[in-house]
Amino acid sequence: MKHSVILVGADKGGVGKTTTCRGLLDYLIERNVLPRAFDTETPRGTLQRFHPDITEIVDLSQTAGQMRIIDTLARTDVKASVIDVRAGQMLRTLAALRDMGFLDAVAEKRFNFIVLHVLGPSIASLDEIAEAVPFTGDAQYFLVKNKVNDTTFFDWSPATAKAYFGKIRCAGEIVIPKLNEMAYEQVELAGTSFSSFVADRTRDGEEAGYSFVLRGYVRTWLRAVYAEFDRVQLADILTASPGKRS
Amino acid sequence: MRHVVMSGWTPIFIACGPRAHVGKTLSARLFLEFCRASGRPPLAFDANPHDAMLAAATKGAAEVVNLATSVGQMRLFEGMLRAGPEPRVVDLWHGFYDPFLDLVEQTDFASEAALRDFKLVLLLHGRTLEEFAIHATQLSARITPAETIVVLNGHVCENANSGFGRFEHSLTILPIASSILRRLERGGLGFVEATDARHGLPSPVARGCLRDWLTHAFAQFHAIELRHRLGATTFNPG
Repeated sequence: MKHSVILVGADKGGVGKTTTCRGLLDYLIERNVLPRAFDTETPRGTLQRFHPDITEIVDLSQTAGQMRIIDTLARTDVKASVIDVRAGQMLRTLAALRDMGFLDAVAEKRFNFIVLHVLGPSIASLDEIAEAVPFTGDAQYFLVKNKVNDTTFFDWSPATAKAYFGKIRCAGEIVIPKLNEMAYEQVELAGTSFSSFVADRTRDGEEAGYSFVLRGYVRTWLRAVYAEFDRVQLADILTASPGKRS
Repeated sequence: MRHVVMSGWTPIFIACGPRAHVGKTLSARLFLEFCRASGRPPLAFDANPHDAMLAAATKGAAEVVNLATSVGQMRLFEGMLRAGPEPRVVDLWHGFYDPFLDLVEQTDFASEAALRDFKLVLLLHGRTLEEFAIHATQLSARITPAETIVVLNGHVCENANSGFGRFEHSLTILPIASSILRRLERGGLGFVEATDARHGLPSPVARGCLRDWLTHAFAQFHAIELRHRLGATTFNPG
């Protein structure tokens, strides 16, 4: 099993990168792929608040931060590194990964490289797709349609949808459904992972007494998120032995 | 000799059905009054925010909840699961029937209720044999563990005396003169309260009719309670 680097990013802010990361970390743990995570929202961190045990805050704009992730890939027993890239840093991070030779190592099949490009319901967000393509030739590049609201991602306009989604060579589209706002806020307040919230546990593993209804909403939402990751066979990509996948 | 100890019983009665004007509020109110008359006032919820008849008929004893909002959903579902020995009764507006079932499935409410020793009882209302058959089957498939009781309300059910034997559990509400019900409504009287000679209905005939009608309904609630309690009976060596 090769080490997989999963980069979750978007240059546009407020599209749900960290939410996607949180769902992804729960999914990986559920599928028995032990992950580590890097939160690039320096200095305070966002992802780390929800997954403190497995998350480290790093500054990806600094060489030291890049070394903290890439130089430890071969050493760690963990086989998946999830990077939550802060807004405005995705293309720069991809360029940095190319410049440091990581993309060449991916081309040589030494690592899996998975990019989850989180899209928002705006043309500015969709414009990023073309800009990311030059860096993702050897990656498993997924477009993540995160339904932060009731957006259709321009389904009503075939010409627009085709212009942005029709010509891209990507591994698939992942749709993150909308989560009930109040449920989202209660998890936010709880500062715990979605799965712990569903299990009614605090960050310390104590019984929490969260709302039964809101836990139900999160449980249903999380199942839908898992189903999306399963649909694109994410766990299979991560656990495939080096000889099995091209 | 061994002593037989019947188990406790904390039911959650949900008067429901996908149609309007089939007697859901009447059933909920009857059960509420049965509990009160038995010395166990229930936690009651009126899930019809547009026309909160149960709350009105019980002088505010039922909490009005709006399932269209997350806050309303939390108040109802967490209220139903609140710790305590009180029975619970819900009058569910027909417009919330499907959203309620969706929510029960999403939250796995039936399992959670069972885990906390509540007995979920769905009082299914309708008009015809065919619609009862369809919805009873759907309820049994979607909500488990729960008991579905088909309510044959003599005021609204067609052919209430024939063909209903196919259902495992049913509850019959006999027709009562509408003039009595109107009188109760005008006087703001509860069913049991109205049978009292001093404070209730002035007519002894009307009081007698009401008493017979209540006895029939309450006897069935009592039978349901006994069935559940005996079903979980424990035997203690004496």
